Amino acid sequence: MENADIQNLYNLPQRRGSEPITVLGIESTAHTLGVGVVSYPPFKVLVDARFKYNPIKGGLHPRLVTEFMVSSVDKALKEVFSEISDPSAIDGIAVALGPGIGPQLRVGITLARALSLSLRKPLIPVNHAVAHIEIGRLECKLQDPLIVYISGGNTQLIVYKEGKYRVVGETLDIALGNLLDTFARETGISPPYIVNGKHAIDICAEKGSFIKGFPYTVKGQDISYSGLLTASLSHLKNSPGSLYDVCYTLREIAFTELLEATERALSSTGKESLLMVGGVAANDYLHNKYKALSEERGIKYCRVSKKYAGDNGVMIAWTGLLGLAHGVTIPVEAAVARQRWRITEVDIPWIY
Amino acid sequence: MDILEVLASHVLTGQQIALGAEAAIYSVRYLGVPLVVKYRYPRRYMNPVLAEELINRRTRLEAKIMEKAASNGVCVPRLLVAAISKGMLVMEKLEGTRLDNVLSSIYPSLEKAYNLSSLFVKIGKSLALLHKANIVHGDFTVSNVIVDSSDRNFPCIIDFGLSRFSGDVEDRAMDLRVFLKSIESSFPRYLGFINKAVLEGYSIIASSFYKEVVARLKDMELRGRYVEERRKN
Repeated sequence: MENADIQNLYNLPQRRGSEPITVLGIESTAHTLGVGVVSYPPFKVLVDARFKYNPIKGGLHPRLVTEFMVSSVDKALKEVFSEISDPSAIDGIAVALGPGIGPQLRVGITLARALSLSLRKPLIPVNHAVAHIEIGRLECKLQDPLIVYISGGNTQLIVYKEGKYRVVGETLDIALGNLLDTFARETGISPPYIVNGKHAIDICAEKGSFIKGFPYTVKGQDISYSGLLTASLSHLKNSPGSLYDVCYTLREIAFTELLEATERALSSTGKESLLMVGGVAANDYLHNKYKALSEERGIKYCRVSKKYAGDNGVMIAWTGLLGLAHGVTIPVEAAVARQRWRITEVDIPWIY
Repeated sequence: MDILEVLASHVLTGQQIALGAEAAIYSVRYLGVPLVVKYRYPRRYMNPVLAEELINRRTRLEAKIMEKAASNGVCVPRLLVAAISKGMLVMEKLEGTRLDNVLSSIYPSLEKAYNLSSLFVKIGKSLALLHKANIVHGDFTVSNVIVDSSDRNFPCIIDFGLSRFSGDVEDRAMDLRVFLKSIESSFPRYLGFINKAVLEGYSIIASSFYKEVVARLKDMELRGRYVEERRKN
């Protein structure tokens, strides 16, 4: 990543001297404790420590995930300080305050408070959704895309306008990742949810074909998935042999709804590029659909790399660095979990 | 030669004026008359069975709804031919400017926007007329209102591609929400007064269901994921 590219993408105040800024970022909103360290200029990822909780059965039980995260803090810090020999080189501690699950958030926030106090470095609040977008924008070098943000807990179509990200479309009930995970869990094909980089639903759908008559719900630029989930589960209950076909149909309708809402948002906002970020962005089947859409419409399209699609500390560190460059810091006592911190509430001073 | 075949050949050579979310819009002339052809075609990203299902269902419904809307006093393009299995609707071409283009040309001037207050009252009225006829638009955004500039700034409603017959308060409130969100994302500075004007117009026609729709609209804003205000309730 060249400095010039980043200067084109981001409005960053000039600093005296040429010393790079270095920020440590902590992610703990859902299943992953991530601690990343980045510096700029030039852009460098110095540390990318990750500890992902994989349930043996069921989903994300907050107590079990939290115990896992707490027991991983030690290893994470060892990774950080074996790489960063001089802790005073770190200029700030960024932490994802939300949106996310309360108990998990508090693990990351406690760690951030401790580091901020002991290293005497400012604390930088980061919105998890913004961080997914900024790491994607950085990798894809897109100035003003329509953003498709899809993960276990989020399904949103987002654009930047006048100092804030705006949600132009979203799920009205459950998120895309949540739909896939819940169906997989209810039918017993998960956990594990991801096998060799593929979701259990994708593997199941490979042998399936399309069933007519399932609910398909697009309301303007918003979509709904809960009816599809119910219909899929009840279809399977009535014809137990149809699992592969139901997997195929569920995935086909869920993805097509999203693509159609995306097309509507492209038409209404006039954006000429498309950026896919978040954990579900790693899905190749969905990626191919977006490629087909972008070719058909003649627009630019790029997704975040698989490496940074899922939750990680690097994206928090990078977004924290952008915030620190604009003086976005908070006192330690103000660092509290914000489970429902909507992206539209966040000031974004670093975009032109 | 069948008019449809003639039009179909025009579609191939005609000028594409828009590529919407689920149809391509072509501008064609037939016997000297300017027409618009809406053509739904299977998308490359869609499963072919799903595409056919959606195209047939939507083309048929859209034709029905356009006629009902027109007969209830809403300004919509007149429908001339509906070729359901071809996924094609042929309609008159409206003379006017898309509302988003009207707003872009004056944004961010508030003074110029205030001059359009009566237009937004009329938009509110038009939507209420649709709702009164048991129609919900389903994609009521700034790009789906055409402002007839030739005469008295009158709004015409286009693109009934996602419309349904429904008297459900949720669906009605959703039309308002989609419209206001489309203002918010492109013209945030205008949101306050447009909100007021549209609801004013809506209330004039929608007397019997106005209150519950507005209450549901407020409810919807709090329902999205991660809204902190909801916590306090």
